[in-house]
Amino acid sequence: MNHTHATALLDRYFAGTTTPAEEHDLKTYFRTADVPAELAPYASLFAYWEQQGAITAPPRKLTARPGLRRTLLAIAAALLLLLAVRGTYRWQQPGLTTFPVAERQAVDWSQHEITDEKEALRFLKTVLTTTSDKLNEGPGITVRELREVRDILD
Amino acid sequence: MPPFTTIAASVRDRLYRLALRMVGDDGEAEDVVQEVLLSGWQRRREIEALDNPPAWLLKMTHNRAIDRLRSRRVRTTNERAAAVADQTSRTPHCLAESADTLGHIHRLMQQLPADQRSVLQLREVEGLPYREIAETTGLTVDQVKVYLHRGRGKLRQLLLHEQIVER
Repeated sequence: MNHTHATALLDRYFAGTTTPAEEHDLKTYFRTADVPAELAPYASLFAYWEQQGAITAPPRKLTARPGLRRTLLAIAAALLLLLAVRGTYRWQQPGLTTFPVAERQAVDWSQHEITDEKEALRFLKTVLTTTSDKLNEGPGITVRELREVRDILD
Repeated sequence: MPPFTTIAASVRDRLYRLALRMVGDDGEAEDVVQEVLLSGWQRRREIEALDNPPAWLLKMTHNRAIDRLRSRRVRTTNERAAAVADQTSRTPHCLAESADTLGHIHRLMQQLPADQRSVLQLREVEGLPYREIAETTGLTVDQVKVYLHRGRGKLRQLLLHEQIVER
Protein backbone atom coordinates (compact mmCIF):
# COMPACT_ATOMS: atom_id res chain seq x y z
CA MET A 1 0.00 0.00 0.00
CA ASN A 2 1.37 3.41 -0.92
CA HIS A 3 0.99 6.70 0.85
CA THR A 4 -1.84 7.97 -1.38
CA HIS A 5 -3.84 4.81 -0.98
CA ALA A 6 -3.31 4.84 2.78
CA THR A 7 -4.45 8.45 3.04
CA ALA A 8 -7.59 7.73 1.04
CA LEU A 9 -8.34 4.64 3.11
CA LEU A 10 -7.77 6.57 6.30
CA ASP A 11 -10.39 9.14 5.30
CA ARG A 12 -12.86 6.36 4.54
CA TYR A 13 -11.92 4.62 7.78
CA PHE A 14 -12.91 7.66 9.84
CA ALA A 15 -16.04 8.02 7.73
CA GLY A 16 -16.93 4.43 8.69
CA THR A 17 -17.10 3.15 5.13
CA THR A 18 -14.13 0.79 5.01
CA THR A 19 -14.56 -2.96 4.77
CA PRO A 20 -12.96 -5.32 7.31
CA ALA A 21 -10.36 -6.28 4.67
CA GLU A 22 -9.45 -2.63 4.09
CA GLU A 23 -9.22 -2.02 7.81
CA HIS A 24 -6.92 -5.00 8.09
CA ASP A 25 -4.77 -3.54 5.32
CA LEU A 26 -4.59 -0.22 7.16
CA LYS A 27 -3.53 -1.93 10.39
CA THR A 28 -0.87 -3.87 8.54
CA TYR A 29 0.33 -0.70 6.81
CA PHE A 30 0.72 1.22 10.05
CA ARG A 31 2.37 -1.75 11.73
CA THR A 32 4.90 -2.64 9.11
CA ALA A 33 5.34 0.15 6.55
CA ASP A 34 7.65 3.11 6.63
CA VAL A 35 4.92 5.62 7.39
CA PRO A 36 5.39 9.24 6.15
CA ALA A 37 5.53 12.00 8.72
CA GLU A 38 2.01 13.34 8.10
CA LEU A 39 0.49 9.92 8.75
CA ALA A 40 2.84 8.86 11.51
CA PRO A 41 0.66 10.15 14.36
CA TYR A 42 -2.16 7.80 13.26
CA ALA A 43 0.18 4.90 13.86
CA SER A 44 -0.36 5.46 17.57
CA LEU A 45 -4.07 4.88 17.17
CA PHE A 46 -3.57 1.60 15.29
CA ALA A 47 -0.86 0.60 17.74
CA TYR A 48 -3.39 1.20 20.47
CA TRP A 49 -5.88 -1.21 18.84
CA GLU A 50 -3.12 -3.79 18.54
CA GLN A 51 -2.19 -3.31 22.15
CA GLN A 52 -5.78 -3.72 23.31
CA GLY A 53 -6.06 -6.91 21.30
CA ALA A 54 -3.04 -8.34 23.08
CA ILE A 55 -4.63 -8.03 26.52
CA THR A 56 -5.46 -11.39 28.04
CA ALA A 57 -7.58 -12.31 31.01
CA PRO A 58 -5.64 -12.97 34.20
CA PRO A 59 -5.16 -16.65 35.03
CA ARG A 60 -8.05 -18.18 36.86
CA LYS A 61 -7.70 -18.63 40.58
CA LEU A 62 -8.04 -22.28 41.54
CA THR A 63 -10.59 -22.01 44.28
CA ALA A 64 -13.01 -24.69 45.34
CA ARG A 65 -16.63 -24.02 44.47
CA PRO A 66 -18.64 -22.74 47.48
CA GLY A 67 -20.99 -25.75 47.40
CA LEU A 68 -18.13 -28.22 47.27
CA ARG A 69 -16.31 -26.42 50.03
CA ARG A 70 -19.38 -26.51 52.26
CA THR A 71 -19.85 -30.23 51.60
CA LEU A 72 -16.22 -31.00 52.41
CA LEU A 73 -16.43 -28.95 55.60
CA ALA A 74 -19.63 -30.75 56.62
CA ILE A 75 -18.02 -34.16 56.03
CA ALA A 76 -14.92 -33.15 57.99
CA ALA A 77 -17.06 -31.85 60.86
CA ALA A 78 -19.13 -35.05 60.91
CA LEU A 79 -16.00 -37.23 60.98
CA LEU A 80 -14.54 -35.13 63.77
CA LEU A 81 -17.76 -35.44 65.78
CA LEU A 82 -17.83 -39.21 65.29
CA LEU A 83 -14.24 -39.53 66.42
CA ALA A 84 -14.94 -37.36 69.48
CA VAL A 85 -18.03 -39.38 70.46
CA ARG A 86 -16.22 -42.66 69.94
CA GLY A 87 -13.26 -41.46 71.99
CA THR A 88 -15.49 -40.29 74.83
CA TYR A 89 -17.44 -43.57 74.81
CA ARG A 90 -14.33 -45.70 74.89
CA TRP A 91 -12.84 -43.57 77.61
CA GLN A 92 -15.91 -44.09 79.80
CA GLN A 93 -15.99 -47.88 79.33
CA PRO A 94 -14.17 -50.01 81.95
CA GLY A 95 -11.44 -52.26 80.78
CA LEU A 96 -12.46 -55.75 79.74
CA THR A 97 -10.45 -57.35 82.49
CA THR A 98 -12.17 -55.39 85.27
CA PHE A 99 -15.73 -55.60 83.98
CA PRO A 100 -17.85 -57.71 86.40
CA VAL A 101 -19.28 -60.50 84.27
CA ALA A 102 -21.97 -62.68 85.93
CA GLU A 103 -21.37 -66.37 85.81
CA ARG A 104 -23.85 -68.26 83.74
CA GLN A 105 -26.07 -70.55 85.79
CA ALA A 106 -28.89 -72.91 84.83
CA VAL A 107 -32.38 -71.78 85.90
CA ASP A 108 -34.41 -74.33 87.82
CA TRP A 109 -37.91 -73.57 86.47
CA SER A 110 -39.50 -76.29 88.62
CA GLN A 111 -39.20 -73.94 91.60
CA HIS A 112 -41.60 -71.47 89.91
CA GLU A 113 -44.13 -73.99 88.69
CA ILE A 114 -47.71 -73.34 89.93
CA THR A 115 -49.24 -76.44 91.37
CA ASP A 116 -52.32 -74.96 93.04
CA GLU A 117 -55.40 -74.88 90.79
CA LYS A 118 -56.84 -71.60 92.17
CA GLU A 119 -53.49 -69.90 92.03
CA ALA A 120 -53.09 -70.99 88.39
CA LEU A 121 -56.56 -69.61 87.55
CA ARG A 122 -55.79 -66.28 89.26
CA PHE A 123 -52.47 -66.04 87.43
CA LEU A 124 -54.12 -66.82 84.12
CA LYS A 125 -56.79 -64.13 84.68
CA THR A 126 -54.13 -61.58 85.51
CA VAL A 127 -52.19 -62.42 82.39
CA LEU A 128 -55.30 -62.24 80.20
CA THR A 129 -56.40 -58.89 81.74
CA THR A 130 -52.98 -57.35 81.20
CA THR A 131 -52.85 -58.64 77.63
CA SER A 132 -56.33 -57.26 76.93
CA ASP A 133 -55.36 -53.83 78.28
CA LYS A 134 -52.21 -53.72 76.18
CA LEU A 135 -54.06 -54.87 73.08
CA ASN A 136 -56.57 -52.02 73.45
CA GLU A 137 -53.83 -49.42 73.82
CA GLY A 138 -52.71 -49.71 70.18
CA PRO A 139 -56.14 -49.25 68.56
CA GLY A 140 -56.86 -46.46 71.05
CA ILE A 141 -53.80 -44.55 69.87
CA THR A 142 -54.73 -45.17 66.25
CA VAL A 143 -58.31 -43.95 66.75
CA ARG A 144 -57.06 -40.82 68.54
CA GLU A 145 -54.60 -39.97 65.79
CA LEU A 146 -57.17 -40.56 63.06
CA ARG A 147 -59.48 -38.18 64.90
CA GLU A 148 -56.76 -35.55 64.98
CA VAL A 149 -56.16 -35.97 61.25
CA ARG A 150 -59.87 -35.64 60.54
CA ASP A 151 -60.00 -32.46 62.66
CA ILE A 152 -57.08 -31.02 60.69
CA LEU A 153 -58.68 -31.92 57.37
CA ASP A 154 -62.03 -30.45 58.43
CA MET B 1 -20.82 -29.18 19.16
CA PRO B 2 -17.87 -28.27 21.43
CA PRO B 3 -18.39 -28.54 25.20
CA PHE B 4 -18.99 -25.39 27.20
CA THR B 5 -15.54 -25.51 28.81
CA THR B 6 -13.88 -25.40 25.39
CA ILE B 7 -16.10 -22.52 24.26
CA ALA B 8 -15.39 -20.61 27.48
CA ALA B 9 -11.63 -21.12 27.20
CA SER B 10 -11.59 -19.91 23.59
CA VAL B 11 -13.62 -16.77 24.24
CA ARG B 12 -12.46 -15.80 27.75
CA ASP B 13 -9.86 -13.25 26.65
CA ARG B 14 -12.35 -11.55 24.34
CA LEU B 15 -14.94 -11.35 27.12
CA TYR B 16 -12.35 -9.89 29.45
CA ARG B 17 -11.22 -7.26 26.94
CA LEU B 18 -14.81 -6.19 26.26
CA ALA B 19 -15.63 -6.02 29.97
CA LEU B 20 -12.42 -4.11 30.66
CA ARG B 21 -13.20 -1.65 27.88
CA MET B 22 -16.66 -1.03 29.26
CA VAL B 23 -16.18 -0.97 33.03
CA GLY B 24 -12.62 0.40 32.94
CA ASP B 25 -11.36 -1.60 35.90
CA ASP B 26 -9.49 -4.89 35.62
CA GLY B 27 -10.82 -6.37 38.87
CA GLU B 28 -14.36 -5.50 37.98
CA ALA B 29 -13.88 -6.79 34.44
CA GLU B 30 -12.72 -10.09 35.92
CA ASP B 31 -15.85 -10.21 38.07
CA VAL B 32 -18.05 -9.58 35.04
CA VAL B 33 -16.41 -12.42 33.10
CA GLN B 34 -16.70 -14.71 36.10
CA GLU B 35 -20.41 -13.95 36.43
CA VAL B 36 -21.00 -14.50 32.72
CA LEU B 37 -19.17 -17.82 32.67
CA LEU B 38 -20.94 -18.99 35.81
CA SER B 39 -24.29 -18.04 34.35
CA GLY B 40 -23.27 -19.72 31.10
CA TRP B 41 -22.27 -22.89 32.91
CA GLN B 42 -25.72 -23.09 34.48
CA ARG B 43 -27.25 -22.88 30.98
CA ARG B 44 -24.52 -24.80 29.18
CA ARG B 45 -26.87 -27.22 27.42
CA GLU B 46 -28.72 -24.33 25.74
CA ILE B 47 -25.50 -22.51 24.90
CA GLU B 48 -23.81 -25.55 23.40
CA ALA B 49 -26.79 -25.93 21.07
CA LEU B 50 -26.54 -22.36 19.76
CA ASP B 51 -25.17 -21.52 16.32
CA ASN B 52 -22.74 -18.98 17.71
CA PRO B 53 -22.08 -19.52 21.44
CA PRO B 54 -19.26 -16.90 21.64
CA ALA B 55 -21.69 -14.22 20.39
CA TRP B 56 -24.10 -15.13 23.17
CA LEU B 57 -21.34 -14.91 25.79
CA LEU B 58 -20.18 -11.56 24.38
CA LYS B 59 -23.75 -10.29 24.56
CA MET B 60 -24.04 -11.45 28.18
CA THR B 61 -20.76 -9.69 28.97
CA HIS B 62 -21.97 -6.49 27.33
CA ASN B 63 -25.24 -6.60 29.28
CA ARG B 64 -23.53 -7.32 32.60
CA ALA B 65 -21.07 -4.52 32.04
CA ILE B 66 -23.94 -2.13 31.22
CA ASP B 67 -25.66 -3.22 34.46
CA ARG B 68 -22.49 -2.42 36.38
CA LEU B 69 -22.16 0.96 34.74
CA ARG B 70 -25.77 1.74 35.57
CA SER B 71 -25.30 0.68 39.17
CA ARG B 72 -22.57 3.24 39.67
CA ARG B 73 -23.13 6.10 37.30
CA VAL B 74 -20.46 8.39 38.62
CA ARG B 75 -17.49 6.55 37.29
CA THR B 76 -15.55 8.90 35.09
CA THR B 77 -12.78 9.57 37.57
CA ASN B 78 -12.09 5.91 38.23
CA GLU B 79 -12.23 5.03 34.56
CA ARG B 80 -9.61 7.60 33.76
CA ALA B 81 -7.48 6.33 36.60
CA ALA B 82 -7.66 2.84 35.12
CA ALA B 83 -5.32 3.80 32.33
CA VAL B 84 -3.11 1.33 30.54
CA ALA B 85 0.17 2.47 32.00
CA ASP B 86 1.07 -1.06 33.08
CA GLN B 87 -0.02 -2.61 29.78
CA THR B 88 2.08 -0.55 27.44
CA SER B 89 5.00 -2.95 27.73
CA ARG B 90 2.81 -5.64 26.14
CA THR B 91 2.44 -3.87 22.84
CA PRO B 92 3.02 -6.43 20.10
CA HIS B 93 4.62 -4.25 17.51
CA CYS B 94 7.86 -2.39 17.28
CA LEU B 95 6.64 1.12 16.53
CA ALA B 96 8.25 3.84 18.53
CA GLU B 97 5.09 5.16 20.20
CA SER B 98 5.61 6.21 23.73
CA ALA B 99 3.55 4.78 26.55
CA ASP B 100 2.28 8.28 27.22
CA THR B 101 0.69 8.52 23.79
CA LEU B 102 -1.08 5.15 24.10
CA GLY B 103 -2.21 6.00 27.60
CA HIS B 104 -3.54 9.28 26.31
CA ILE B 105 -5.51 7.56 23.56
CA HIS B 106 -6.90 5.23 26.20
CA ARG B 107 -8.10 8.18 28.24
CA LEU B 108 -9.67 9.70 25.14
CA MET B 109 -11.46 6.42 24.46
CA GLN B 110 -12.88 6.47 27.94
CA GLN B 111 -14.49 9.82 27.18
CA LEU B 112 -16.68 8.22 24.52
CA PRO B 113 -20.20 7.05 25.41
CA ALA B 114 -20.39 3.37 26.51
CA ASP B 115 -22.14 2.19 23.34
CA GLN B 116 -19.58 3.83 21.05
CA ARG B 117 -16.79 2.35 23.15
CA SER B 118 -18.16 -1.17 22.95
CA VAL B 119 -18.86 -0.93 19.21
CA LEU B 120 -15.32 0.37 18.60
CA GLN B 121 -13.87 -2.35 20.81
CA LEU B 122 -15.74 -5.13 19.03
CA ARG B 123 -14.82 -3.79 15.59
CA GLU B 124 -11.26 -2.50 16.01
CA VAL B 125 -9.93 -4.96 18.57
CA GLU B 126 -12.02 -8.08 18.07
CA GLY B 127 -12.58 -7.57 14.33
CA LEU B 128 -16.21 -8.66 14.47
CA PRO B 129 -18.53 -8.09 11.49
CA TYR B 130 -21.42 -5.65 11.86
CA ARG B 131 -23.98 -8.44 12.30
CA GLU B 132 -22.18 -9.96 15.29
CA ILE B 133 -21.63 -6.54 16.84
CA ALA B 134 -25.36 -5.93 16.49
CA GLU B 135 -26.12 -9.28 18.17
CA THR B 136 -23.75 -8.53 21.01
CA THR B 137 -24.86 -4.99 21.74
CA GLY B 138 -28.55 -5.35 20.96
CA LEU B 139 -28.30 -2.58 18.37
CA THR B 140 -29.41 -2.85 14.76
CA VAL B 141 -26.78 -3.20 12.04
CA ASP B 142 -27.52 0.36 10.89
CA GLN B 143 -27.11 1.65 14.40
CA VAL B 144 -23.79 -0.18 14.67
CA LYS B 145 -22.56 1.54 11.52
CA VAL B 146 -23.67 4.92 12.82
CA TYR B 147 -22.07 4.33 16.23
CA LEU B 148 -18.84 3.19 14.60
CA HIS B 149 -18.77 6.24 12.36
CA ARG B 150 -19.50 8.55 15.28
CA GLY B 151 -17.01 6.77 17.52
CA ARG B 152 -14.19 7.01 15.04
CA GLY B 153 -15.08 10.58 14.19
CA LYS B 154 -15.25 11.54 17.82
CA LEU B 155 -11.93 9.84 18.47
CA ARG B 156 -10.36 11.71 15.60
CA GLN B 157 -11.77 14.97 16.93
CA LEU B 158 -10.39 14.19 20.34
CA LEU B 159 -7.02 13.34 18.83
CA LEU B 160 -7.04 16.61 16.90
CA HIS B 161 -8.20 18.53 19.93
CA GLU B 162 -5.44 17.02 22.02
CA GLN B 163 -3.01 17.72 19.15
CA ILE B 164 -1.90 14.13 18.93
CA VAL B 165 -2.80 14.21 15.25
CA GLU B 166 -2.40 17.22 13.03
CA ARG B 167 -4.69 17.46 10.07
